[in-house]
Amino acid sequence: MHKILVVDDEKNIRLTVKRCLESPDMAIDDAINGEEALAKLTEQSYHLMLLDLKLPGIDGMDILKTVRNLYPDMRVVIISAHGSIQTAVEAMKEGAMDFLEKPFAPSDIRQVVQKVLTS
Amino acid sequence: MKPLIRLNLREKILLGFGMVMIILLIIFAVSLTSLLKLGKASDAILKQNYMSIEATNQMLDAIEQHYRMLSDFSPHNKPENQKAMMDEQLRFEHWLIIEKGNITEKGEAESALKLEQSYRQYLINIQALTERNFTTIVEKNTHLINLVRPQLNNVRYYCKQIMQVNQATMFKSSNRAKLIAHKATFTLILIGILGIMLAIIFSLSLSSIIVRPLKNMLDALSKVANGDYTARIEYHSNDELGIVSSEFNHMAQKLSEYHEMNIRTILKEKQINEAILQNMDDGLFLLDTDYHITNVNLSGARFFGSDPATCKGKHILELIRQEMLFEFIKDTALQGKSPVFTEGQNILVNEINSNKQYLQFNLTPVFQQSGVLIGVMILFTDITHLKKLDKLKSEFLMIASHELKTPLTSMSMSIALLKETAESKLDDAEKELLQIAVEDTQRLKALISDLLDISKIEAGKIDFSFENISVESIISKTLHSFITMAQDKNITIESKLEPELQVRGDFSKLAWIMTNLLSNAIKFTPQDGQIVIKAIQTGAYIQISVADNGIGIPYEFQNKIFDKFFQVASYLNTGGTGLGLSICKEIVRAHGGTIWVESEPGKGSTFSFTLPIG
Repeated sequence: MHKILVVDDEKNIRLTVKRCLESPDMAIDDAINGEEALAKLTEQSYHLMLLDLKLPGIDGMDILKTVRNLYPDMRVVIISAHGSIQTAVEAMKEGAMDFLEKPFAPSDIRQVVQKVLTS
Repeated sequence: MKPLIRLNLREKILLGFGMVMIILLIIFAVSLTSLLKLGKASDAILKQNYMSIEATNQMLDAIEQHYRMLSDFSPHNKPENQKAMMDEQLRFEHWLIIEKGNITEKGEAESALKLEQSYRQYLINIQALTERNFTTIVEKNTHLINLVRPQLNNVRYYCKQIMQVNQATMFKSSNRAKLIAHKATFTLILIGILGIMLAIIFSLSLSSIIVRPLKNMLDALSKVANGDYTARIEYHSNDELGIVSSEFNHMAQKLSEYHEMNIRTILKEKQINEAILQNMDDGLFLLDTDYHITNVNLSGARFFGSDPATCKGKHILELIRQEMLFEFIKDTALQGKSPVFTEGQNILVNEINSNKQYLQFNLTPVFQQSGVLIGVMILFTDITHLKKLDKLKSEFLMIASHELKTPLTSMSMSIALLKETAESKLDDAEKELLQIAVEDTQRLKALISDLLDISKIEAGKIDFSFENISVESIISKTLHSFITMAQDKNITIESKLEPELQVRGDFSKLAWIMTNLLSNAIKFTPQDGQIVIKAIQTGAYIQISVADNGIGIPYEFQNKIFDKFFQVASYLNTGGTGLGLSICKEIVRAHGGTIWVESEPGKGSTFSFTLPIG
């Protein structure tokens, strides 16, 4: 059973990503912002975090830095509408495993998630 | 001179000649009078005094003859002597009568009377002598001498007296005639000189009367001809010249008014033009053929941190250090026509006091009326605000497309997820509707992606990483992904590249262009078509072209296809966003190159672009 946390302030993104990944061996949880995500992380551990970079409150990049320090075993994939080579490179430097630019298709998400979880 | 003014020119000339005629008449009259006087004087001498002298001469001769015959007298030759003596006696009396009728001089009458008395006494004494009978001739002669001789002497004396008186008068007359002749000569000379002088004076004054106004007119005419419209002819008269003068003055007055009006109009226009030039926001430079600034307005000078006075006379490169602009200026001067700019070519980035300013320039050759080039005019328009607006627009577009991405993501995700399970749940009509949603979310994705790309490039938000790249590598990279697409339509793609060409550019962006051009070429080329990719070096640029033998582009659209959202109407629904070529254009421009199309409808299109050599 893989536990995945989807962090995005957009309800519909959270919902569609969850639906997309729904399967018997996946437990998917979501958080509306950085604060909620950090709170959920203290309660239980996750294998993978899908993190939006643009969030109200704590910025996605700062959350990335924090979780990389606190939970080095958890893998992080960035999902962002503000895709640019620069931000992608920066996220990778901070320890993100991959960078998914919006808009993405269900197959994109499944592929990335599969790849990251099996690596 | 006053009355002269009222005469006309003809009358003046006639008057002048009339005056000379009068002088001639006076000379003629005086000469005639003098001659007549002289003639009269001569007449008097000849007729009267000469007659008296002739008479006395005749009388003297007659009485001398008479006396000689008397002394020769003898009884023997008495009859002949008496007859001859009688003749002489008659001759004497005849001339005495004439003399008595020709008394002219003072005392002549008395002398004539005395002469007659002496003659009577002479005759009486001869009578007394003849009545005596002398015996001898001696006796008779003695008596003759004593008695008759004194009377004879008296007669002689009075004759001489008359003669002297007349001779004296003749002498006097002669003198008088001489005097008259002298006088006449003198008078004639005097009148002649006077006449000539008067004639000269008249001629001079007449000619000056006629010529002076003409000279004045000539002076005034040449002044007016030289532009001095204040010139007037100061000549007031009723003659023809006076009329001409007043007409001339009238004309000059009108000319002067007209001229002044013109000058005022021109000055006013000049002031207006000057005001417009000085106060307009655009910068205006006028260069001579040596590219020195001859004229500049305030805005023009301010654009380059100067003022008009300092700018004047400077070489344009001294003020504006922009080689590109200078090349265009030289072109304009050499070709004598305004250059045609491709988009963005005539924009100059000017930094004054760390303020970035975008100036658009336009060049116009300036010709004289004769067609000789005298310089080049540069008009700078500050388009900084447009650039700012453009940037604002691009930024807005960028943000907008960003914001669209998130809902688009959930929408496309939802549709895609729906589709995954649709097969078993929906009927065919519903599946069709779902397929429409799938296709158009795809389209929306492409559109937003392109929009974002172009707005990023336009806003300068895309970083280009320039490096030297081989042309071959770009083309092979892109060609790779089109092989299957081309094979599907049986299209052959041929590469004709000059070897070892290198360009300076951003690899991924250039690949993007090639991808776009190739995808278009395949899209618009029918089955079994042909596509040729060429790369050649032209000067400092590499020219890459993609040619197809497809449907081509209608002529009327050829210059619009690089515009945003432009799609040739008949090719709509080919899945394009209408932004591909404008993104190509932006990328090529960012590289400092140009892109263009040559196309013939029905025969195919060739898209070419240039890139700086690597």
